Amino acid sequence: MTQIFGNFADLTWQMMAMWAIGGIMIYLAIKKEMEPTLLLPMGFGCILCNMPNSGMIHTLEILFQAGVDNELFPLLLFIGIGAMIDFGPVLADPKLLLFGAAAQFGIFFTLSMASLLGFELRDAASIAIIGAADGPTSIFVSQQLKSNYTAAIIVAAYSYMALVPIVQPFCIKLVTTKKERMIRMEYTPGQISKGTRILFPIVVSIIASLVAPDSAALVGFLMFGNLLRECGVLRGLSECAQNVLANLVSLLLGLTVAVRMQAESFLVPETLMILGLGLVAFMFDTFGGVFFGKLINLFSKKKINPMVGAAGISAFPMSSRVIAKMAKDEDPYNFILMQAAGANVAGQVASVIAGGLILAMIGPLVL
Amino acid sequence: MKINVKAFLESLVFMVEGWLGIFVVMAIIIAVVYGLNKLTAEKDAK
Repeated sequence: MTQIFGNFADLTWQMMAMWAIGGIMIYLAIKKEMEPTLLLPMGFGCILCNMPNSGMIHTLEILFQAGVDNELFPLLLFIGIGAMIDFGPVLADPKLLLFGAAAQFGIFFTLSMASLLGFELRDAASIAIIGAADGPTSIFVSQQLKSNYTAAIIVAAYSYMALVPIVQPFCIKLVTTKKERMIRMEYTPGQISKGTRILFPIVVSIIASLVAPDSAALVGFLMFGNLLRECGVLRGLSECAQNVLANLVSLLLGLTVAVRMQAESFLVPETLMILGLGLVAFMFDTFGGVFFGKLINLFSKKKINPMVGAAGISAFPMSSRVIAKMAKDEDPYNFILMQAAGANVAGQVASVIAGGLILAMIGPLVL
Repeated sequence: MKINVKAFLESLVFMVEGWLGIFVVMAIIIAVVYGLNKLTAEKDAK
């Protein structure tokens, strides 16, 4: 009997609190369909890693070292994401790339806020990158900087990505008028040649590698995935990357990250602060994009719907859909999906470059 | 929680450099995309 029930004595309330957190993740994944490919395995892993003397921890620790410690999983995931992205809208209207840059403001604002709250620089920078609205980048940067809060950062990054339909409309309505949200934008796409589509991922990889060498792996894998998509001769590989590879890596990543969600390291006040700072990052990304749109409107004859700026965060394609829906809610005949999609894919590029710049600026100071 | 004003002030440099840095990189990419569009469009026309 001692062998069967002995383990019960080692149960703590903290472990049970983590079961509840794991349960909430599973609930959100299944019932609300919020990032299910990641939240479901994370929630399940979270529960199993918070059993007394759990054998799961040893197994997942091996996977963690093999796939997260060396940043392999996030980079592989980037091949899939790159293969999913159609850069067409941004190639047709390259100016939209500036919105991607503007909507990274939350990252740098949060870096300062986290520093103010007393986080070490390596942790502040890792927390700030939640604002990249890009899970793999958050994992990559926090691992490179050897942050002490990787699990909380990943949980925050993916949770807020799933909460974009709630966070962004609230923030946008705070800083725009109904009249601004009703601005219509003409969509006149230029012709994009196949050559441009093929050369774009190659050239961007070269530029990013030269400007921010630390972003070479991030941008390179993302753009390699996109090259698979655009080259036209590897359709099978492209589809495999978009579906099988992305799903499989997400599944492993979710389960693996759960090993860092053990009660003793996760249930600390810093986790709550990181969740709060993650929200700040997303909010100020949105504000940065919207105010940049307003700034352009001061000088431009062709008015821009400032909500398009908010789509410059890289939560793709959710953010652009949210923005397009908001525009349609204000005016049923206002269609800004393509412009928002352009800003959204620009945000994807900008977020990995932001990750590279953070590594370039902070890395030498803390490693 | 320990408020660290010194670290906050030091981080402002990263805020300015980092955010501006992204604009610079994006501006380079914009210029390149315009160039690519022009170059490949001319080839297509030929």
